[in-house]
Amino acid sequence: MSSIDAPSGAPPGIRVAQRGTMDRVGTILPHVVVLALLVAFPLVASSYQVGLMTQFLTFGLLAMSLDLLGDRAGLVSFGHGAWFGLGAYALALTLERLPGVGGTYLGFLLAALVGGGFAALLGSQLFLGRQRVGGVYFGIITLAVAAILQLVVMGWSSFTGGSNGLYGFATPELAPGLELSGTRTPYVLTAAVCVAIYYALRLALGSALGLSLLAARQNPRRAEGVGIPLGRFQVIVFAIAGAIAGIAGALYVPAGFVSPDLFGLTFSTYVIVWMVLGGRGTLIGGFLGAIGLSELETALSGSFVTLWLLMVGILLIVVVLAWPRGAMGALAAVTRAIRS
Amino acid sequence: MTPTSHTLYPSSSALGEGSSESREGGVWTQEINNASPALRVVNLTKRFGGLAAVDNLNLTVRRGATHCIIGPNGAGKSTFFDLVTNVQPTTAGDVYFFGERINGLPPYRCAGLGIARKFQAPTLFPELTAAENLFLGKVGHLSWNRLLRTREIPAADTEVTGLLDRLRLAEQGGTRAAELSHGQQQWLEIGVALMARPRLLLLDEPTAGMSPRETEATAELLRELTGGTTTVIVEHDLAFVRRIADIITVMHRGQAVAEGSPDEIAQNALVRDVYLGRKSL
Repeated sequence: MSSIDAPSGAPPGIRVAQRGTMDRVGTILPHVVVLALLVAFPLVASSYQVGLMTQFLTFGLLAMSLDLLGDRAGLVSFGHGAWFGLGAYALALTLERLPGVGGTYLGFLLAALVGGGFAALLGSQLFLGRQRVGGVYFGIITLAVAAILQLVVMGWSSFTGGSNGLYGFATPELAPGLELSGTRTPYVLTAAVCVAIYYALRLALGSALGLSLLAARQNPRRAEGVGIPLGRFQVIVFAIAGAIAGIAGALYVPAGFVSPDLFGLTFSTYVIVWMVLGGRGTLIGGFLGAIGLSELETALSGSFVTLWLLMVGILLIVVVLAWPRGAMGALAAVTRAIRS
Repeated sequence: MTPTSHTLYPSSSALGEGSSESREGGVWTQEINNASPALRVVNLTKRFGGLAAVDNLNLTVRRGATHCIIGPNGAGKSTFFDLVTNVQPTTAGDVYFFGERINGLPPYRCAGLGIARKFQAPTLFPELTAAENLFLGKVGHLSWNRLLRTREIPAADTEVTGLLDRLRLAEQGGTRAAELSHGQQQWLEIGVALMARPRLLLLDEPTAGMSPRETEATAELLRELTGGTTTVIVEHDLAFVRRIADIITVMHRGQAVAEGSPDEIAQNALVRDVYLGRKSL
């Protein structure tokens, strides 16, 4: 269903959201709660926890970009972690050669450009011809691309550090004296970027363009029949998702280490799991799924050294069976039930 | 002037330098001295292996006409629509739209030029409301900027609400398309095609699966809504065709075997034989 609400005063027959005060509160409250938690977290948590949460936020942003790709372009990437890796390496390699404020901003820019540009290049080959690639074939191609990139990164050790990854590069610096070191500053930057991207995407998807994307995913043939350039839309969404994933990867760099594992199958699988657990088609679902599952894993792995992965696996199966639309889908169903 | 500058479509050269059409204020205008027919296909052929679904077809649709195409199943009628809108590539032959060759243009660009199509089976956006479906009928003519800036759709759009009303779907504007009855889906599909204010409307079996009463209503609806728009209709219901057609082409085995006014076609013994399967051409 489109997220576009009809205004009040519309003619009869048109779906009009009859928004009372309670509805407005119900709509705004979750946003306020999440934003408040983001603000309060570094004030109440330990430095260690804040550092971990910063990483989890980058994972959340990555899952958000995959959700965008799936929900609005009908494409599921099995190798989406590779775009995260590209962004991380772009910033780390830049900082190795050009430390300081300039290198930091150039690195972030390159992270977005490399992620978005590579996706656009790949997408233009896959979606613009008469014989388009979609569905599981697209997933397999992205998986292959990720594997190839991992091989390149591991093999080109003089440039990328090989299987050891990159470490020891300069600390990113937002302004003279304002380094992305410690835990608080990276957290604030990462949280701010996540919030900004989330609301920018919401704004864009709530427009006629978002409706067109939704329509194209539901019925591609009809969409082209009404003049929607499906292939171009897919390339654009893929590029935007790739750029966001690249930025997420760059935000991971203040952790001080990037490795070829970011291009690996395991990491990309996690991204899909986060999105599925959190709930597809909501943007925020994958984001919260990444944070929630990462936190859970951290907690379980401390207490159940050998069994925690099994527990996470069982949880995934249960959630998929019980709530096919993930936690956000379940939450929406509960909310609807309460309202009705 | 091309109609598509700053829209989703690239500035189209398909209309050609000599074209005199423009889309001003959302309405297509044409200079009357341009005598090109709305649609002309020359030696159009589509082969699937050894089978010629459309075989050397020559057909001209004059501007403003309601041109019906009849013929038995497998005559190549729907394939003809596929070739005009380039849903399938042609094997041979040319398609001219208001005098300009449009072979090879992707379907979304054909839509951008002003060709709207209703498919045989309803192919709506099932999870979207009737109003949203109608709105999407015209997004192809909106610029990227307008697409991004347009919010609060479709209730605020008077074109959408007006057309819903004329389609007898005013009360179903907020209903998901998948929940509409078959007849309502067919009407909505016609509405989606009309929403783009097309220069050429292609309707593939608009009364398929309808009751006699719904068919009657559809005929009225088409007369009311398509006035002046060049319309090509593929249809099996001969009574319906006789009521709305200006000209009828009979197709058989991918070829046009007869053409004329409804009365002329009704008198044509050969056509009766072919259509009723009594003679093999």
